[in-house]
Amino acid sequence: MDSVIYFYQYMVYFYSITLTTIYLFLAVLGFMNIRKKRLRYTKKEEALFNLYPEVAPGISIVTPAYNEEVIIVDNVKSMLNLDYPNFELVVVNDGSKDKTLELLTGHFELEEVPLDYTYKVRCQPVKRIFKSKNPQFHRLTVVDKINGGTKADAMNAGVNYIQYDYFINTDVDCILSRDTLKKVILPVLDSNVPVIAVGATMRMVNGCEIDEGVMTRVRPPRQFVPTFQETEYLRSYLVAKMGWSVINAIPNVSGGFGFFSSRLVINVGGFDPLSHAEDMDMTTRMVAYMRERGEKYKIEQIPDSCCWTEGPSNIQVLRRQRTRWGRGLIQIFIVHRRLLFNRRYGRLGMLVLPYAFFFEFLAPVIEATGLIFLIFLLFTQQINFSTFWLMLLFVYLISITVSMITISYDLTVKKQYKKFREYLRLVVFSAFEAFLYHPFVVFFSLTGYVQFFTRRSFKWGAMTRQGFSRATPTIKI
Amino acid sequence: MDRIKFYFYYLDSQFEGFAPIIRITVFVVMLLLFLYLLSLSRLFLINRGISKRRRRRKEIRNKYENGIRDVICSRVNLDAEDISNRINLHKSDNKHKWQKEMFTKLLLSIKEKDREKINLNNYNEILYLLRLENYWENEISTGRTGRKIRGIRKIEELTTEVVSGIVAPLLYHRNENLRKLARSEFIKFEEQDAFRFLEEEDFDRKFNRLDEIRLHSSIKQKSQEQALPLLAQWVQNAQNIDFKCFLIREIAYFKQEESAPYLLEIFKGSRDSSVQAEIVKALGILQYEGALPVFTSQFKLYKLSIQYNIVDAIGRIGKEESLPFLFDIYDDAYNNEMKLKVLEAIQKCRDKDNILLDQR
Repeated sequence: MDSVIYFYQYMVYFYSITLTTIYLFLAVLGFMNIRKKRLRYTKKEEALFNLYPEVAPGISIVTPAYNEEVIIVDNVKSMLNLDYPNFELVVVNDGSKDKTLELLTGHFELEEVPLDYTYKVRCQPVKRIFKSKNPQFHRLTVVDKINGGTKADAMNAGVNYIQYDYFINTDVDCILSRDTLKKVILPVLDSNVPVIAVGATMRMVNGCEIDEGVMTRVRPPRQFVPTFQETEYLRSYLVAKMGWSVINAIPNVSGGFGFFSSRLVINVGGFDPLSHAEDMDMTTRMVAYMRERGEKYKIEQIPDSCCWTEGPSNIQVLRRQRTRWGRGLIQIFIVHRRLLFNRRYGRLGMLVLPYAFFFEFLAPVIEATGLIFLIFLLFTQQINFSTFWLMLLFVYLISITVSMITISYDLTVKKQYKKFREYLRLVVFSAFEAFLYHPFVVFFSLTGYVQFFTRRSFKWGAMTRQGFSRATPTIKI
Repeated sequence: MDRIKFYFYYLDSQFEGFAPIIRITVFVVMLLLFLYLLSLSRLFLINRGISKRRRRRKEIRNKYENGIRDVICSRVNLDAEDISNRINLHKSDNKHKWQKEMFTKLLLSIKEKDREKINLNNYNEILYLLRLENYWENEISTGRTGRKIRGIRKIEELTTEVVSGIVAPLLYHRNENLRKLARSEFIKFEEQDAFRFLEEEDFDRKFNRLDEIRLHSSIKQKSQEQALPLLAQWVQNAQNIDFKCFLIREIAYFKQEESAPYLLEIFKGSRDSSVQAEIVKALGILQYEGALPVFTSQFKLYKLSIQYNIVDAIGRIGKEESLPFLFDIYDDAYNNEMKLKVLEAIQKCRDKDNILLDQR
């Protein structure tokens, strides 16, 4: 029994040390990457696209919508407002039962056009296609289809219709910053190796002021849960993904905002409607495809905040989100198990997936068993309290130090919040994250794993939409 | 330093005799605490820097913006002394680096907003008065890589009368980003041999699509000052396929019709499908009818991408004689995309020659 206890303790200890080392390493790489990107890509490079639209590559934006009457008009207005010369917006109405389509038709003067549609990847049948009579909205297309039950199916319907070599996959609850397309295309162009996907920083829109689809004031969320999630997202993007990007080992381009090569997505068969984590599944399949063909590729990450998404406003919505992520993660390792530790897949098989397995998937398991183990040691009076407090401090410091590094990186990239005390709010919240938020994340992740194995039928999970325009009075600055 | 060493040894001595795991943990805890405090300080310092820059920018704007705007937009030509009196420039307001940079920002923002009203004489006099060109030239010559890159960007925005000698030392710099930026700006600045790098190294050994856009902007600006050379002269000898394709696209964009026969010869001799596809597209844009027999004679043997471009090109050129060929292609087409392209091409030919089609 003693040897089991010692083994477990040492295993958890070295797990923590390894995780700390990895995070600090990623933080260093991330910092270098942020500096490099800030030097290479400035307003001058972005201005080239507006000055010389004849050479600006076309970009499609695909956004699925299912029962989104609260938010759809603001979202589409926001997208059509993007500052880039050559883009199109394809909204996929995924069999909405509410007034989504009517609102779109009314606001944007849509009319049905001939059904010129090719099924390059599988999706539920498309019924109609709408374009606007008004030249002001010439970039907009609405694809009306039969509901496929998942976002992936709707995405595929959009991918079948787009005309450009690149597209952005974004959610209907996301607001993109006006210069998003210019920022996201730059690393694609500035590469001698094909860039198959680009990720960017996502933030919480909760608490921000939006005026007719345009972000007028960025603020951290007022509610507890999305405030914690804001820092969590920033950690993931500014430290983890910016760091992984240096060694071309980004595990996942987020489904909330992802920039992809259209051709490659079609070649790998589109998004998987059966996946609970279609973003990580797509990233994995794209990389595997390139590796199998011996083709060079790169996945880039930019530090700029390009996308604001509505975060879970309470614990119930957080639970739905995290259980889905948990199910998605475990599904990835089952579906793509042949890639794990497979040298043929290079960094994907030998680094990215093993890292995700040990430090993302197993983390909640180790934390939960660690807690049970701790309770056991307490009851059996086997705790050395001076060592205990030291180890607790160590684990606590990992969390708050990485958060602190992240927040400082965020300010380096751009001062998004008008007031400095809003950054200090994130600093204060990060001090309590380990007690007030993280335990829920662990519990919900484990719930997701259990749900996957008990094979309950799942729905995508409704986000309870707050909408942008009605929550707070907006003041145009 | 001695004090730090003292505390380090003190801390080490406190854990003398403890298990290595404990000592490692204490070390890691100290490291994390240090990083936390460092990041927190950094957060405050960055914010302070941002506030300071904002304050300084506001100060310069409040003092000089209206005066400088009036001078730049004035219809009367002024010299440096007059301008200095008008805007009430104090020597102390133009000594430090940050002041030069703020004045640069201010000038560029005025230039951006009031582009149509700029009096070039007064503008150049202000540049001379504020010594901004000297400042940025100095940054390019002596600064670190980041400052050099910034310097090239700023000086290109500020003035059109830059001597290419400023960027000359950077044309073979080992930093790829700096080197390529210098080369693309060199085209704008240089008067004797602006297109030197279109021949040398295919612009750059690490040529990519961002360089295409920069080069295109430089060539376009140059075309507004003087007649462009025939870009086709560099196509045949270019080794880099992407660079070759770029030149072909530029030939089409600048409508260098004299290059069309030469491009057709390259098309016949080329084995690279992307080059061939670009040439077809370019010849379509240039409306070169001489290419039609070549395109149609071996149409079915070409790759699909080239076939698509041939159909588009035929549509652009729009000759009645091409219609039977298009009808045959439509009948033989096995994919919807080809059929759609052929129909579009037929429509264009019809519109161009005003022919009534028989129903097929």
